[in-house]
Amino acid sequence: MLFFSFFKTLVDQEITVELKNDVKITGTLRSIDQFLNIKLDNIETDVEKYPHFKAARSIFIRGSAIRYIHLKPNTVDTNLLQDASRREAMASSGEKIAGR
Amino acid sequence: MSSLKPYLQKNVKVITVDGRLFLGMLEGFDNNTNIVISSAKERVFFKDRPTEDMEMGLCIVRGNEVVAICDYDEEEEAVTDYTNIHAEKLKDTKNSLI
Repeated sequence: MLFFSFFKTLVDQEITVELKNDVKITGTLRSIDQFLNIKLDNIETDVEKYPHFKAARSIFIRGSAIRYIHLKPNTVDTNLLQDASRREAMASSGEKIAGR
Repeated sequence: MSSLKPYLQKNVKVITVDGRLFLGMLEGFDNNTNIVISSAKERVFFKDRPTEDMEMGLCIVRGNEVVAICDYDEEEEAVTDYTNIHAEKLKDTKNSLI
């Protein structure tokens, strides 16, 4: 659930979602759920190449179709995220992780 | 929770995992993204011939086939003549490393 919480902190930020079919969609993150399904508003994409998205305003993307989510570096506290992931991994494995 | 509720009874475009595009009115959905669309049609783009729309009627799309659902500007859609817009087929979302 960590990354669900993490993405919740990014609501209203502009992100780019790259799908597994190579389409890249930029838009404002409107909401996210536990499957990492994403809703974007004011979307922009290469309409010349993909007229499928012509006239589209907002989009619901199924989490399973997402390959990458590109974020602006200044919106992410990488140290905090790394620490939190480590802590969650530790909690779920019930063991100490090497080096800690 | 990012639910599909705001899209209900609206015209939407649906992209499926095999790269196809469906248009229709969203009648219902569930937690697995299974969806029902009415007056559905499949729009097929070609590189070298006019775009084709195929009427499908009422459709149920299984959730795991869905990639994206978008709503669109009806006015812009109405004034757009798709017959001479050409495009390559969208890639599927399977075997993404090949």
